[in-house]
Amino acid sequence: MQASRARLFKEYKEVHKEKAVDPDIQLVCDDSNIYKWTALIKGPSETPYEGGVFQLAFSIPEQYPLLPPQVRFLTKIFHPNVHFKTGEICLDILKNAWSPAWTLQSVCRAIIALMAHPEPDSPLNCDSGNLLRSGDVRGYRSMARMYTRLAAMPKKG
Amino acid sequence: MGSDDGSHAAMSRDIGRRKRTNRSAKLKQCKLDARREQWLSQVKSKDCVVRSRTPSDSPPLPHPTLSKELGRRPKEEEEEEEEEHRDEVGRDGSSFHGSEEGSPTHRSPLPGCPNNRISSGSSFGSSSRSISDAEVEEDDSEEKGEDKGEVEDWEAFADALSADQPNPNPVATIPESTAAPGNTITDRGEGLEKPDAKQAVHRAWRQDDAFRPRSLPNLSKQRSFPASMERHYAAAGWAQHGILSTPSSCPICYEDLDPTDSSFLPCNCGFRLCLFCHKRILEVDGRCPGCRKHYAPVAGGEVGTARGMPPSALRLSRSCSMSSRA
Repeated sequence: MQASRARLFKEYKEVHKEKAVDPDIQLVCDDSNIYKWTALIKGPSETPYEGGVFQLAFSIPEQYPLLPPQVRFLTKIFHPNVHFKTGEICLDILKNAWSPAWTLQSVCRAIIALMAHPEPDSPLNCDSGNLLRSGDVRGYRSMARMYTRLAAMPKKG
Repeated sequence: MGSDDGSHAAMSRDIGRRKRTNRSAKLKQCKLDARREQWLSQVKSKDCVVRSRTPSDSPPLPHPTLSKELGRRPKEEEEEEEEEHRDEVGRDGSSFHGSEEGSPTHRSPLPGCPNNRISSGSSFGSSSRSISDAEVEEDDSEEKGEDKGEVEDWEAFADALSADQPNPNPVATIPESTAAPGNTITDRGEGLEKPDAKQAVHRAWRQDDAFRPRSLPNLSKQRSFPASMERHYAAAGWAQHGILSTPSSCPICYEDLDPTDSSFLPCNCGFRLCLFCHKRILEVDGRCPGCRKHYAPVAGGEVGTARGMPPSALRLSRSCSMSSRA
């Protein structure tokens, strides 16, 4: 569909303009396929993900922006709303609450917000969700921190 | 001669009428002419001194074509024109009698507005904006027979003039009395030879003037709509001015909103989008991208407007004002 392509081109331009504005998000379009994007997001501060850089893979449907992009984490992350193996994200705006007014950039922002504010009541990662639901915030934080160090931070030495 | 007189008189009456309706356009012309005059005097001053055959007391005419025209014109015709001119002046109201009356012949340029003189005497070529390129060429070929020497210069002129034309300045500051005499002559000269072209051009000008401040590009589009539709859009356009945050491009497809789109408010939340995207959304899930509510029932029938059935101008403007408050 031509509409989605046109819109993605425009978003591509916007992203390049906005790069300096939002230092936490880096959106890169696949060289050969404008329907495949990769994003690098920084873990928000004061969370166990702080200091980590997480890679997201966007797969954009032809009906975009009427249909949401499919996003998943390529970087391992311990988070109640992210599937630990597949990286699938449980986020309402990527499902039924999607609005065509959202952009790839704003989806990234929403994911950063989700990292800071997990929703243990609709978990994809049951271990993580259970920790939080049982009130073991410390346990959750320490697990999340460990995986951030393992997967999302540059190896030391 | 007698019959000629009659027809000419009728012509001049016609012209007089036209002139009155087009006065504002004339003011603009005058200003343009002033600019052109500046330019001409820089480039062509030497040329004209030699060629002008006008009385010696008049300043040199800075346009070769004009002087040539003057020289070529038969005496008889001049007399006729003189007559008509008086006739017209009398009819047209006394706004510009003063200096013009005193001059022995209306061809002697007024010091007050030499630029008008330039555009006036010759019916084609220098009188500029009413002459299309085709006409200019035609004129050119006509003159080639007479004297080759000037043709090149003249062509350069014509090009420069026509290049000058497309920027009309809407602010007219030159007083009417200054503009009038020369333009009278312009009218007459062209009325004799190219009445149709002149009229058409002037109508276009006038329309421009009247509508330029508003949504000019949209006009033809609105015209093609039924009357009720027109009213509806007018109301929407009016309401739209109250909203500061009107996006310039559709937030869905990022294409620029045209005036129809930007006056289109499908949802009470005030979220704007282009008609195209709105239609596509209706086909898919029918929810407003701004508030994620369903369009049709919640929005109170405003979807109907999108389908070409305006409920009423009143309702739309009400919804607009609501969103401006929000």
